[in-house]
Amino acid sequence: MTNTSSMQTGYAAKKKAVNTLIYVILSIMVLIWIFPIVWLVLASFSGDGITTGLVPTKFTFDNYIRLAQDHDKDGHVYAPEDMPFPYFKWILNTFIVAVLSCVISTLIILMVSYAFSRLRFKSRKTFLNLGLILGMFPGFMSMAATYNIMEIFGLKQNLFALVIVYSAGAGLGYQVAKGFFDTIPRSLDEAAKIDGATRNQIFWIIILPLSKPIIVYTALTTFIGPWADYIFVSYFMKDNSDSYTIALGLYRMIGQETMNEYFTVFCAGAVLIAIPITILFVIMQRFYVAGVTGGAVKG
Amino acid sequence: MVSKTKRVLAMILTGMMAASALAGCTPTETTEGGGTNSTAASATESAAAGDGASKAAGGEVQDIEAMTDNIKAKMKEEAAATGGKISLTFWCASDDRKFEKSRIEEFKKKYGGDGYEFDISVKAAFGEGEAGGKILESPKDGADVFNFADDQLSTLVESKAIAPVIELFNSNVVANNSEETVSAYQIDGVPYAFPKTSDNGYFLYYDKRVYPTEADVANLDDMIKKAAENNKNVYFNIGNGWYNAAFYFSAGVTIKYENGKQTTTFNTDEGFNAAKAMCHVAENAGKGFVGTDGGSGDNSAVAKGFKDGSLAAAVIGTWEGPAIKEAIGADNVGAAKLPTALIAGEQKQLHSFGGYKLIGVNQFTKYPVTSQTLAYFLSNTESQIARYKERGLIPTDLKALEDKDIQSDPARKAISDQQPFSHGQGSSVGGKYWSTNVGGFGGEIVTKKGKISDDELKKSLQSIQTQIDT
Repeated sequence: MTNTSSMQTGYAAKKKAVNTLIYVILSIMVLIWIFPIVWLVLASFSGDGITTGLVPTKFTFDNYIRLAQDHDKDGHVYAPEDMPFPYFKWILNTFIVAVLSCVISTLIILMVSYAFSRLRFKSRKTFLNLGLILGMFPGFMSMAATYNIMEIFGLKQNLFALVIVYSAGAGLGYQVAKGFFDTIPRSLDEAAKIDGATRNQIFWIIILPLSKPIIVYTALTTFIGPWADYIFVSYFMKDNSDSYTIALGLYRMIGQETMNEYFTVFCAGAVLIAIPITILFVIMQRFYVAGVTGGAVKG
Repeated sequence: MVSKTKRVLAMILTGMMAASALAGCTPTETTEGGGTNSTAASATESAAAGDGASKAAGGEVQDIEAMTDNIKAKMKEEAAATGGKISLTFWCASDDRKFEKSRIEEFKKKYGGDGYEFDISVKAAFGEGEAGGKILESPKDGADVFNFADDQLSTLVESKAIAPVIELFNSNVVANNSEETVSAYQIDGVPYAFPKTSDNGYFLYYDKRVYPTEADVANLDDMIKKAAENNKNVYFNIGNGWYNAAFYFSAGVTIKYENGKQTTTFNTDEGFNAAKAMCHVAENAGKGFVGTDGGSGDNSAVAKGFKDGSLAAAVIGTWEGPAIKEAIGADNVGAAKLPTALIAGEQKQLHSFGGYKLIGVNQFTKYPVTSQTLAYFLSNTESQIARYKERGLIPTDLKALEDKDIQSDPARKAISDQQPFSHGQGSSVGGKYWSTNVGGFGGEIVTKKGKISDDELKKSLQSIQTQIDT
């Protein structure tokens, strides 16, 4: 009797100890994970310049103001066309590219996935494998070739060239959406077919309304792409700084010659850019989680 | 079936790789590029001949003002090929854009004429540090006229991306600049660029509260001693090959880059003396001397050091001037040539890399004469004075340096005092120099506080020399 109770308390104590240990480790990890963000936010309000410690000695909004209305070292305000780093113009560029390539890519991905999921055609398996393997090669491998092709089309250093580049390879990302479509019973298709619907009608009227989670998931991932891509923009836009997207533009701020002066402005820009994307994620989160897990049920 | 699929796949993948490999080559190898190249060269020649220029470098100085009408006629000719419009792209650093734009407006006023118009777009994407590399990436997409630092000159010339300067302009540039400046933009006697500022090298910045007179900053040993007494340090990054070359140059080591070949004499008595001199200085590491940037980069190490009061002096260039002024107050900032150092038992003046910022013209430009005229205009006496007044950049032009404001600038004085002991980067070091262990060896001396045996020093010098020779 006593034996059992002491075993029980021993077990409880052990469990408590393990839990405490886990929570301590988790807390430390949280601190480590959150630290760069705290640091970034603090630096964005710093008036100390680049030599800032963790907590700035001077707090200022100037870094945020300079994103919209910049001035030179002597305090002269730049005319809008002379702004060395036209932050909001870059945001607008990125937004345009993101929206267009999001719409196009999402359509392509959903259509390709639907075809792979529902249609049975010759060498379907081959195409599935080919898509998988091609998708493993990074897109920038053929960057120089793509640039020359765009030049032939007269789309050199143009935002639409970026839209094309970001959405052209979208079809290769069919795996998750195909997995989701595979979970929708085929009997729905068959019933619609008996009622006289074409493949096209089935896709738009029957399947898509049932696929909200995967649509949101696909749209979100394709929308994020242009905000984070650096390699393609820097290769395509070269000196055309009016058509930069935000990732490249922000990176230019901390170049060798401007690092000292613009480092805290860069931090402010990085904080601002996180806000719209975070809001979008929070709103879409419900669908987002459903989308990923829904597609993963049957890969 | 399976094997067939594999074969098809393999073929497609090989094809893709070959395609991307070929595509990588096109910018430099298209016939179109070669064509532009030769027309640009011939246009340069005809312009020179048409203006009656002598071919010898640094020949008779020609009056450019008197040539204005000839130049305008050439511009009109160039414009005719593209429908009367001269479309140029100009690259500069982002914070220079406003100033350079205003100068370009002046250029348009001066060289505008009937039958052609200028369309010059000033792009601030690539500053002097990057421009050369970006031009090389794909010369025909690059700017017609661009600003760059002199260390990029040798690679630009090697890959034939930069156009030689027309003699008409070069004779004037030679006449208006010192010999050291001229050697900085020539390679094997051919001029390739227009010198714009002379402030891309390093010298000494110091805190006048620690060193009240110039005599206090004459000697590196005394400086370190005095800094230690004040609980401060002297910053000299000898863990970096660019800065520690000061010791090798002073000790008499040859560091030369000619015809694409790097020659050095590290494995000699001179090299050994230089290494010993660095060891002597490094003994004070942590007690009056800071010899590495601690991984944070020179610029932030120096700005931070002056701000928190741990530095009394630093070997650095004008780019840190504003940060140092902000940290200790403009009145307390002094600038001077580098001090002397104890090398092989005697005090010897430390040498440095004299850095210049240059304006270059793209070999592939459709408007060679217009581009060269623009580059010349932006580097002439008037533009250099204006650049100093607006942007604080120190001129190269001898007449511009006589300007009263520039005369009284401490950095200007330091630069011109250092100039006799400075070496052009383009004629001293090529890319290979930076891949040797010359910086790492300096860093080792600092971390070991100079306690390295003579044999080991010699071994390290020998291995650097081997890296250069092979």
